[in-house]
Formats: sequence, structure tokens, C-alpha cells
Amino acid sequence: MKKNRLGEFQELILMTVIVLQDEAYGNEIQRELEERLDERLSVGAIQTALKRMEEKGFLTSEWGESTQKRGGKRKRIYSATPYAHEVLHHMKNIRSRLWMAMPNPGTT
Amino acid sequence: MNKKKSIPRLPLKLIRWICRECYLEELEGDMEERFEDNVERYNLQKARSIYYLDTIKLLRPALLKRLGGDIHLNQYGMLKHHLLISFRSFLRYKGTFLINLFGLSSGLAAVLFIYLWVQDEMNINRFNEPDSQRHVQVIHSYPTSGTMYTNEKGFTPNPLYSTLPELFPEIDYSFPVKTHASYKGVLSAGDQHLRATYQFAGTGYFKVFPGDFIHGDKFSILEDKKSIAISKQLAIALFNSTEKAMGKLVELKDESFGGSYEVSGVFNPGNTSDRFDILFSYERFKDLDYMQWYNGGTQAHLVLKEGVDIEEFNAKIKHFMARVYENSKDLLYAQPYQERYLHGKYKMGVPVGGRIAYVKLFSVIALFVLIIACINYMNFSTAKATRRIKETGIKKTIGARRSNLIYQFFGESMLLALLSLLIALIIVVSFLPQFNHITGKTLSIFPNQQVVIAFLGITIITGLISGIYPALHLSAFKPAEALKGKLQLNTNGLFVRKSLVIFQFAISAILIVSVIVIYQQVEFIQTKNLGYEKDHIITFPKEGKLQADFEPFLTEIRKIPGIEKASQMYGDLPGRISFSHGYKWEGMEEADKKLRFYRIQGGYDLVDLLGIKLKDGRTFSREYATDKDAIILNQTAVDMIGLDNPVGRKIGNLNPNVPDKEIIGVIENFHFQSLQEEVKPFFFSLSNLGNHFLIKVRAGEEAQTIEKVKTLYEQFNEGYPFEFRFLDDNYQAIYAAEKRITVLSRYFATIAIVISLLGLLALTSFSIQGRNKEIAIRKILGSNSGQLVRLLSRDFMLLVLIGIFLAIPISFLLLRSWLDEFAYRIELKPTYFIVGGILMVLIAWITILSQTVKSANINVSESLRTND
Repeated sequence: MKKNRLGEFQELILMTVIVLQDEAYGNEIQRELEERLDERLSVGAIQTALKRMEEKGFLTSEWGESTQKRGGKRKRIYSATPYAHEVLHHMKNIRSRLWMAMPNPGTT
Repeated sequence: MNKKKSIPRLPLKLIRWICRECYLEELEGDMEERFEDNVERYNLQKARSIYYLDTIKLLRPALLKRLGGDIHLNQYGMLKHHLLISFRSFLRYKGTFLINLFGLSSGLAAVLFIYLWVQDEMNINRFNEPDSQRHVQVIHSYPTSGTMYTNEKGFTPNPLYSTLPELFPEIDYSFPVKTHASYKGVLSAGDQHLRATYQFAGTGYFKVFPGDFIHGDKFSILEDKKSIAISKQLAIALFNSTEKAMGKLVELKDESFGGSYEVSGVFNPGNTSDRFDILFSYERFKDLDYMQWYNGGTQAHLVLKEGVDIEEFNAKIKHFMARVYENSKDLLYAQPYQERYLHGKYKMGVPVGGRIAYVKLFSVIALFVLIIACINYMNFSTAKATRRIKETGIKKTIGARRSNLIYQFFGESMLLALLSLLIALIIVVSFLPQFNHITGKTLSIFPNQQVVIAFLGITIITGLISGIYPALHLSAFKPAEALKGKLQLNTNGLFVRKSLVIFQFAISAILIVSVIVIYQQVEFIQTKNLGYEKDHIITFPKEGKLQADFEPFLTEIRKIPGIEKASQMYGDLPGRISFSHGYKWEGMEEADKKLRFYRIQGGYDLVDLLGIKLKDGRTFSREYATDKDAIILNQTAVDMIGLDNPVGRKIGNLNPNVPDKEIIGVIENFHFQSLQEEVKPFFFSLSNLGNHFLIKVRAGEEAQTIEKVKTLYEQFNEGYPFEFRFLDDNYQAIYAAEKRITVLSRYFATIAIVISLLGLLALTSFSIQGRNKEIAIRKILGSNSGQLVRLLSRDFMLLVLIGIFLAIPISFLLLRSWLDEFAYRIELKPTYFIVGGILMVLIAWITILSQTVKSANINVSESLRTND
């Protein structure tokens, strides 16, 4: 798992993509995340993460519909690859094992 | 519409410009959607500012265009493809490829050779000393024998160099130089004796001339009369090393400057036209007290002040000599020193060319050879076009732009040019020694980056010139027509192709005719009856003890069995013959005062020894005591004086102290100067003060006889080296330039003609291949081979003939202007042009025939069956 490690922000986006299913395009991902994180994000941040993960093989994408609001430009719908799922699970396991190993699991 | 307009335009433009194209639709869309959301959520103002902010945040490496563009990979593939196609087409059409390669590489080699030569010529006497750029030399011209004579060596009246700066404020400073190259003294150290040439230079010399001193201070040598600087070669020859030479005393044997000197400097002779072995201070020359206006021979070198207009300065000094002598018609001209080497011929006191003519001539010839090779390439590519037209069509259909195809064709020609450069370099490196031998230079190919840049530049230009026509022509086809094979290529390309072939053969014909005429002229010079015998005569300096007391030596010499005659004279044949004026005779006109008589003063036997024919009277004889004041005139002198019965008459002198001279004989004209000069008025007289011995040796036993002369010489004249030359070699030496042209023009003409013929060969074979079916059908219908050959040859022969006809007037004009330089020259007979033309037609015809005969004998059924 050395290679192609996911950054924290990338992991969040990846999970959002999986959550959003067919609606996972740039703006929707951004809205979803902004809501969950309660923080304003920039298009650039989202897009960079998406492109990076696509390059590394966590995501695939295809053109979707176009809307009036977008000035007739098509959406690009992202979906996670099986490899991404595998990596996510793997990271979750590592985390939970680490939680269990902590002496005083505090709560927040 | 309104909403659309409210999106800030500037950031949008930025996004479109800077972000990667394949992300653009998504990015733009996202940004726009978000903008709309923000307008609804906040207001237009805020939405706009968020848009700005987001745009700036978009500028991340992952989203931006890559340097060099996204289509990088694609371009590489194209390049690889071009290379592959080029190599395949080279392999497939080996014949044309090899002809092209041969043509271009020999053309390039020719240009490279000439480039090296021209560069060397241009760099001679170009120095980078502090004041070299402002350095001019005064050229002195004066009227004599009805023309304006210019001293090409730059000799001026001796006081001129010091007088000019006093009168003309434009001059920063001046210095004198006295070359003494024509007479060599002997320098001795211990028992080593070497002949050396010398030069006297004044202070200031080293501010414009380079002085590569290995030992010693170059500036102080010019101040001190008793010390000299010697060349590295001389130092090594005398003392075995440059270091040991320093501070040594050497003994110079010379009429005027003999004595002992201290060596206080050793120098490396550089790239200059004036070579010398010993450098003196000019102060040493001044000791002779030759500093009157009528004493000449010193060069006046001036360094002008910064920003002086040389033309204005020349207008001022032009008639300066009239201030020295009343009514003097002499002219002065200040010429930048760096131009002296290439522009060393003068007319009416002003430079009119010189070696620059040869530089231009050979540059043009080399260029033409290269152009002929380029034309072959162009012709082949357009002729081959039908074979590659489908390729072009398919490429265009797939989406190649015209520019891609242009690149492809240029790439192909460039590749060939680079391959040719490699071969050309091999040729140049292997033939450089021979080339150096012909041109008398020591050129080298590797020295500087200038050469490398020039070679690459020449190659790239060659590639571009060869590629330009195919690239523009072949890339222009419409794909549909190209694929259907509907294109009638020939209508378009044919005219250009024909003109190019005509051009090639015009040049080749000019070269052939030139080679014939140059050869004839040089042959004429070699074999012309000069009026004197130059064969089997050796000459060597008369110096040392023998200078005054030579009779015993000559008596001993005459006893050697292989010797026919021995004598002595002042001057050297041909060319180094002195002259004088100031003679008077009956019926002389005022203008005749300036009439110049050349003269050879020497021994009794001289006229006989040189085999000069006597027309009237007698030659010198010991029986007449009065002969010491007698002269023998040549025919030109008799004609000039206009005496009917010259023998027995007297020639007086304007100087009353000089006794009258009796004319005892008249000789036929002989060429005591180069054949570029008319025979001038001349006389022989007797004198013991000659500076050369002349000895005629019996043919066939030269080697042994000369060995005996040498032994005798060393007995009589200890301390002087015996260095002889054949008179014939002297004669050949003055025609070195002409010989160079003969040899070089022959080589260049051969290369040009061979390239042209190869081109013709390939073109004929190509055009015939396309007509195989036609030939077969004609044969079936009853044409015989002869008719077919005529039919197929006609087109190309016509082109060759047109080329030759164009060449005749051009070569006539060129050769006439070349021959004009010779006072004695062959006439331009029509035969030369006819022979040259017929020769050209003949070889072109044989070339064409070799192809047409082959295809006139083709197997009819086979040719019709194949669907080619």
C-alpha cells in the first residue's frame, strides 16, 4: 500500500463520489462536501483531487447530461473503481485497528 | 442572456487560455453552475467575486496546460513516421538516392573547400590590435610612359610618412615600414649560415600589427638600432632553441646593413602576407641617409583619428605631391590596410580589385556546383511525385494538414543534406592535403566554431533549397484527385523541371568551355616563345667576396665540363628588372623625358647565354674597350625612339655627369616580365655590379654539374649557403595563380558535369518508364528501334541544346574579361565554343542513349501484360 496512498482530502472526495452514485459530478460533490464539512471549498481543489485520483486509477469518469444552468456544457460523472473500494476498506481497517490499539479511546 | 453576460469575462478567458483543453468543458460548466447557485444564494456581486477567487484557485499544475502542449506525443509519432518513410523511400529508390547523395555530397564538399579557402583569404592581414581598424596605408601612383603607374607594394617617397601627420590633423600618428624581401642577406652564428629576409619598422608598428613574441619586448626592439628580433624558425635553425637565441650576437652579411647585432627577441610569424625573418628598427635604415624626397621605398602607414571619413581624407591628400614638386601629377590614396591583400590592383591610383576576383570567381563556381546538385534533388522528387502521390492523398484524408506534409518533405531533404554533409566531411578531410597543395595554403578543418556553424548553415540551406519545390508542389494536391490518380502532374511540374535542366546544362557548358579556354591560355603561356631560353639555366645570388671579385670564380666555373656558359647580371628573370629614365636622343620630344627604359646590366656573355636573337649590330665584346659605355636596345625601344639606323648612334642622359651611350646592337623583343605585361623599351649594358649569377648547364647532366658548382662556390665564398633556382621555376612561379585556376576549374567542372549527367540519366530513365506501354504499342504498330530512340531522346536533347546555346554568349563574355588581363593571349576562336558544345552534346547524348536504347528493345508482350 505504499504506492498510490490517498490523501485525507482525496479520501473524503472518493467517499463522497461513492455516496452520490450517478450524481457524482464536480459541483454536486462540492456541495455535498461543503455541507458535511461546513466549510467553503474551491472548484480548483475539488477538480485537482478528482484528476489526480483518476490518474492513479481510483476513479473513472464519463460525460453526463448537460443543463441550461451549465450553459449547455456537459457534466462529468465520476465513479469509483473496485480498486478504490479495496483501498478504502484497507484504510478503514488500519484506522479501526489503530483505534483499538489506543490506550484511552476517548470520545469527542 | 443577461445572466450569461454577468459571468466575469476576464477570468473565463484566462481559464480557456491556461487550462488543459480536455478539461475545459467540465471546468467551465462547473464554474458556471456554481456561479448560478451563488447568484441565487447570495447576490450577483458576491457570486462574481467568488468566481474570481475560484478562478485563481483553479491555477493548479494538475489542471493547467503542459509546457510544449498536449499534442507532444503525437508530434513525435509523426516525426518517427517521417523518418521511417524517408528511409524506406531511400531504400526503395536506391538509384535516385545514391545519385542525390553523390551529387549533394560532392556539391557540399566543393562549397566547404571553397569556404575554407575564402575564409582564409579574407582573414589574411586582418589584425585585432588596438588601432588596426583605423590603420591605412598610403598608395603612391605617378605618370610614366603615358600611363599612371601604381606601386603595388606601397612604396612611397621616404619622407612622406613623417610629413603627412604634420599637415593633416586627421592623422593620429604614423610610422614607416621598409620591406627588404627581394634581397636576402645571410645571417651567421658560429658556422651556421642562413639566408633571411628582413623588415624595418618604426615605433607604432605593434599598435596595428600583431607581434607574437616568444621572448623579448616587442616595443623596445623598435627603438634600438643594435638589436634585432628573429623568427622562431630562424632561431631554431641557428641555435636549436628559441631560448638559447636570446642575447646572442649574430653577424649579418649585407651590403648596407651588415654588422653584428644582438638578438633581443624571437617571434612567431602570423597570418600575414608579408613574411620576414628578421625585424629591425627603422632607425637602422635611417642611418643610410636616404631621407630625401627622391629616395623611395618606404611604406607610409597612417593611423587615422577616430571617426575620420576616409573619402574626405583621400580627397585632401590626393594631390599632396604637388606641394612637394611643382606641377607634379602624382596621386596619393589612403587604403585601409586590411583591404590591401584582396584589393591590390590599381587603376589611376585607385583600387580596382585584385585577388578578390578569384575569391568571387571560386565562390560562384562552388555555389553553382551545389545548385546543380540541388536541382537534381528537386527534379527527382517532382518526377517521383506520381509514385508518392497516393501516400500524400491518404495522409491528407486521414487529417494531415498541408503544413505536416511540407514538414515531411523538408525533413526528407534535410535528412539527405545531413547525410551528404557526413560524406562531404569525409571527402574534405581526405582531400585537404591535395587541396592545400594546389592552393598553396595550410588550411585545416577543425579549428574554430565559426567553421562548424558555417558548415551546418550551408547544409541547412542546401536542405531547404532542395526541399522547397517538392515541399510546396507535392503538398498542394487535392486528396480526392490524388487518390483517384486523376492528377496530371506533368503539366505543372514539367515546365519548372525543363527550365532547371536547361540551367544545369548551361552551367555545365560554360564550365566546359572555360576549362578549354583556360587550358589553352595557360598552355600558350608555357610554350610561348619568350624570346629567351629559360631551360637548363640556374641562378643564385652573387654576394660576399664574390660580389666584387667574381672573375676567378667564373673562370673556374667555365672549366667544369658540363657548363655551357656562365655570367652575372643585376636583377632576376622574369619580372625583377630595374628601370630608369632621363635619357635624351636626337629628335626627342618633351613627353619622351618620362619614357622609362628597363635594363639588365651584366656580363659580356649574357645576351648569348640567354639565347636572345640579335637583329642588327653586334653583342658586347671584350675587344672593344668602349663597350663599357655601350648599350644594346630591344626592338620596342628602337620603335619608341624612332631612329631608322640605330646602330652607331648615341643616347645621352639628362644628367651631364653620365657619359653618352653608344648603341652597338638591336635585339628582338623578349619577355623579361610576365606575359600580362607588354614588352617595354629595354636595353642591355655592361656592369660588374650584378647580384645574380646565371649559369647554363648542359642538358642531361644537371645534377652532377650543379654539385660541382656547389663545391666550387663553397670554396670561393665561405660563410654563404649555396641556394640555386632554375630560371624556368622562376618563370613558373609567377603563373602560380593561373595554374591554380586551371587545376581547380578542371576539378570543379568535372564534378558539375558528372552531377548534371547523373541527373539527366535518372530523369531520362524515369520519363521513359512512364512510357513503356506507349513504346510497346508503337512497336506493335511497326516503329523500329531507331525511330523509337529518336523519339525518346528528342525532348531531353532539346533541353541540353538550349542550355548550350544560352551558355555560349555568357561564357564568351566571362572568358573575354578574364583574357583581358593578359597582354599576350590567345584569341577566343569559335572552335573553342564549338568543341565545348559538341563535347557537351556528345556526352549528354550518350547518357540519354544508354537509357533509350534499353527501353526501345523491350519485350512488347511483357510490357503490355504487366499492369504497371
